[in-house]
Amino acid sequence: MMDARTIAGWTAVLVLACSAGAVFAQRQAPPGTDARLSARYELTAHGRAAGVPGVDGLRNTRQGPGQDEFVPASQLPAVEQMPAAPMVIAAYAFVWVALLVYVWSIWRRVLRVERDLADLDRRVSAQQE
Amino acid sequence: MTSRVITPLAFLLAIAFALAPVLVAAAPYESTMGLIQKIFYYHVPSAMVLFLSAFVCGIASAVFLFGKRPGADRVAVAAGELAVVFGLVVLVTGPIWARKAWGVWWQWDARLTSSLLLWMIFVAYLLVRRFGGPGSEKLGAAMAVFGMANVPFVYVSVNYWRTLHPKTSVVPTLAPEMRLAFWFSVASFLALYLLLLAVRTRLEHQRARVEDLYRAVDF
Repeated sequence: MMDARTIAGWTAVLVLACSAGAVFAQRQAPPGTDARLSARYELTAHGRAAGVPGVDGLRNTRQGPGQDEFVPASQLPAVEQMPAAPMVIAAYAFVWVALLVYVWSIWRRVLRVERDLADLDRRVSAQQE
Repeated sequence: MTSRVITPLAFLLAIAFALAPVLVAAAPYESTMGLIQKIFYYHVPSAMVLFLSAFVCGIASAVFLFGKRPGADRVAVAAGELAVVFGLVVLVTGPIWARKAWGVWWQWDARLTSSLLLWMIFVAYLLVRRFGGPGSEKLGAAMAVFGMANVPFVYVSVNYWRTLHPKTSVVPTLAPEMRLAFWFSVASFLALYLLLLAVRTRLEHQRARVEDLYRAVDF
């Protein structure tokens, strides 16, 4: 049976992994939905409130002119397109690693049970003698 | 199943899994999604195996509950664990595909949410079996039957509710050039599943034998 420390340790690992995933997802989010835009908005708002000159102008030049028509993803500038290859490689690598780790875990459990069986057989033989 | 059968089968599977990416790479690009659609060739077979494993676990659990056969319970434990493993593959590869195709990692739509619930039912099943103590096998078996009953709802969810996820008509209408890679992947995943199920069930039999020996012999 797992003891409480082991469970707590694995929970901590899981929480850390989830946090890392969330941070990664936040960094990868498209403009308009991520924390960077919020930070930029706050900077602009604080700058305006403090009377810092040029803050509004800076904001306008960064955003550029508004876009009022549909633009297919394939026609976006390369810098705004998300590369597919790393994601496909990540998906396939995950499948391979997950299956290999599972096979390795079964192999370890089989070895442990076989060791227990051999140990029991030895004890039974010794008891019978 | 003896190791004389398992070893050659495992070797053949290794070759099949090495060949599958080659066939996937040779398959044509889907017209709207492009390269990211290649995840389909591992994502959908994993989902098929998840559903199959849920059925095997549920049916074996029902046989254990109503037929009082311990051997069926061992098959159920093995299938339940495999449902969690292949479910994890589905739940990780799906969001990677979604991030590129839909612009989001996750959407709380009918298919994704029901798939997550199905996976969580089998995680709960394993937790009950692991930490539930004496008598947990009957509670776990009931949970597995409930999980199996969930599978048809997960499958048809894309057809009955408004969802981002593609419908079940994708596989039957697959382009002929994509069929070889897809069905080869399906066959590889099914063979891998059967092999893992056999090995894992054998492990459960050996564990039961160890417990019986401990009970029978007073040290």
